[in-house]
Amino acid sequence: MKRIHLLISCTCFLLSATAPVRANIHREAAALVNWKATLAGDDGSLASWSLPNSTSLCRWLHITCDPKAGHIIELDLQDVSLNGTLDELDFSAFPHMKELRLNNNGLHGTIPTGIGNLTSLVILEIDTNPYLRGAIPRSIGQLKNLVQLQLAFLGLDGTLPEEVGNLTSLEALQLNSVTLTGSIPVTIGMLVKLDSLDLAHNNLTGNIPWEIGNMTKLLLMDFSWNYLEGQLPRNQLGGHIFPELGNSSLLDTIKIAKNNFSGLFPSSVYQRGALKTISAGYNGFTGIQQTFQNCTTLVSVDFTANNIVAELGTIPSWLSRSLPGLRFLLLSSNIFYGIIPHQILQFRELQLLDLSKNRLTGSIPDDFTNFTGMIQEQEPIEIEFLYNGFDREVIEIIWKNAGHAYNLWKGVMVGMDLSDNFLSEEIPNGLTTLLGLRYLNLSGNHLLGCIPNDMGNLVLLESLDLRQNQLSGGIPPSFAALMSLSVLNLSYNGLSGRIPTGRQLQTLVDPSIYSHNLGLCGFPLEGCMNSSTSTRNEVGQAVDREALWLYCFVAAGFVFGFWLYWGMFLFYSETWRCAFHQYVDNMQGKATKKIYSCMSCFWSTVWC
Amino acid sequence: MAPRVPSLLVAAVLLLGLAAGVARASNEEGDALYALRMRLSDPNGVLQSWDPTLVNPCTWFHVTCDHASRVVRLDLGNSNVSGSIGPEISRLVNLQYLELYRNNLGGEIPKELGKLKNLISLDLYANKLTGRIPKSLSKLSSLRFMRLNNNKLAGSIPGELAKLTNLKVIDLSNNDLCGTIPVDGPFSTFPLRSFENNSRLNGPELQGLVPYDFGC
Repeated sequence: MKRIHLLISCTCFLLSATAPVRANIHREAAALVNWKATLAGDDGSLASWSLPNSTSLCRWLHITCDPKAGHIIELDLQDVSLNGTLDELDFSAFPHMKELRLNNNGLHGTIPTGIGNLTSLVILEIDTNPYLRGAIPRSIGQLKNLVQLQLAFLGLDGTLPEEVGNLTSLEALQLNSVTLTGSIPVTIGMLVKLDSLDLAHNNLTGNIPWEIGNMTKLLLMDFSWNYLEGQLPRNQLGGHIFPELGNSSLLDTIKIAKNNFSGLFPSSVYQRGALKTISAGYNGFTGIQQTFQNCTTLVSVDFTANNIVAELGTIPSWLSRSLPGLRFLLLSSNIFYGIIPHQILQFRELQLLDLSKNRLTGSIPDDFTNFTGMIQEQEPIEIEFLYNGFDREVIEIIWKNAGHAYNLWKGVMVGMDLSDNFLSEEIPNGLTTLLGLRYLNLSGNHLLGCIPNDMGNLVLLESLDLRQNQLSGGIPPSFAALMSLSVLNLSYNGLSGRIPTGRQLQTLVDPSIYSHNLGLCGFPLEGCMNSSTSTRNEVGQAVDREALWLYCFVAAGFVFGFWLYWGMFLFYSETWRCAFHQYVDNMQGKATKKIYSCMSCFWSTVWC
Repeated sequence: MAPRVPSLLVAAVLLLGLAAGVARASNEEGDALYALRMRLSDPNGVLQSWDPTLVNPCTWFHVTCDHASRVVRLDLGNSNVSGSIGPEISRLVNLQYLELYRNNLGGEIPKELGKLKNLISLDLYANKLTGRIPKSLSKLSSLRFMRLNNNKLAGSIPGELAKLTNLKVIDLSNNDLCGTIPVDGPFSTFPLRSFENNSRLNGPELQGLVPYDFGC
């Protein structure tokens, strides 16, 4: 009897112990089912979500449970075609949820404040729901366990709430393309564990808070495509962003392109050992303070379209051997002047060199034997960029006459753009050894002399632009070997002779690519008349001959007229002059009589 | 005031949709090209840069886009690729130059190529293409250059090709074509060597007579 009592009481006890747990699971199921009822649509995978089914909650699609306790720890609703709001989702029913993913759906409405009830949350991902609006709720600060907060491609508005500073466990903060406005709150400096800070593609204004210097573990910083402004402070009171960041010796990537920053780009940024990428294009920087002296790890440097005024050759440390890994150097659209220094040839790994639209003078360096980055075809090995986010390593290149976003990840593009400068002298033969080149743009300079004969060696070349120079001579026959060429422009030069024929050249049919030269002929222009000289030359010669005859006759006429009148004064004696005049007069008289008689004869015959 | 908000919303949604649509269009062309890559065997690795995860194919090697990121040229001449051309290429609606010459391509010329209204140059010469010349090629109203020589094309030369008023150069030599050579439209200007070495080709068609079936 006692044993049975014991057994019964034990069972009752156990049952009652599990009752609250079961009740909680039932609450989770109910919350999900109630929310699903408010949705206008989904892709059908939520069919298993129903109350009768609540005992098998952990087997519902998109749900992962804790194996022992049975409550939901992960809710993954990516790509489920959800059409509805989050307003009716009872977040307080999920105190144990660790991961919530709602990417790629059609959610609308706002992110409810109830989201702060997910106190165990470690990962929150809500991207690509373009109709999700409203502000980031302040209650987000309650998610003390959050390690990764990722909101992207949403229709949000409003500012980044200060409460985000309470998320002290946060390691990755990605708020990309969510139309944030206002300034970056200074509380962000409390996120000392952050290794990835991505606030790109928003409408943020104001300065970068210097408190960011507290993030000593930061690997990536991306503020590109905002309206941030001001100067990046140097060693001054009240602003030590980058000197403080010097404490983050792990900093791998700085992206601040497309903002309104001005002043000097400070040197202290790159004094430590790990920096790989500096993307600072489309700002108003006026200079680069000091040089990248100790920054041996740099792979990509982009200062396109700033206001940098500097003599390219006097930044020697940039161009010294201390940058062995530099692969992408983009300095287009600044005011770099002086010559292209020879030290630039020491960048063994350089693949993309863009110095276009500056004020460079002098000749193009010739000795490219060390330029291994361009001498051979690049294999598509993934260059190790730590950042695995949305923008990746995208730069803009002008490729085949159009601007394109090029993804540096695979690292295969090889090209050189020196266009729109004041470069002079000849195109060096050494350029034809850069067999890896996919594009070469030397247009808009003062280059003269002939196009190197071996240009045809560049068999990987897809785009060649030499227009608007003073090149002379002929187009080398080796052009026929340019099997990959799809864009060519040789216009506005002084070239002459026959355009070479070739299988790929015959697909370049637009005659304007050869226009405004001295005397080019052959497809797609008019045919060459002569095997040795062009028709244009012959016609030119004929015109010259005609002009010569014209001048001769005019001169003869002038001389004759001159002597006819003034020559008479040679006759000193009066009698001679008179005799001469008399003679001429007689001749005239005879001629007039003759004409008169002929005419009267003619008229009489007509009227008769 | 109230009615204005929904219309603004609609406009915003439409704009977003348009943006998404444009982005998708570029990706569509990338998808079409990637489908071609899947068909081809590429021992030289010329298609290695064709990465479908990129936003558009405009930085892929051998692909040329215009300012609006639409593919206008495909230059794969002399690339040692084999396989078939496939119909997906017809989705590159802005394509102007299709250069697939001097490879080992087999199979037929897809009739879908007739959809490429902007095509200026069609160079499929020096491959191993079989089958007939599709009649749909007569819809390529912008075509100026058609070089299909040195293949194994059979059947007759479609008379409809005479509708290609812009055609300046044709080369059908070194194939296995039969029947007669059209004489009207641009065909009146083409020299006979554009058709030579087709052992069963019977010469220019004799107009005005009842057409005789040569068993072609």
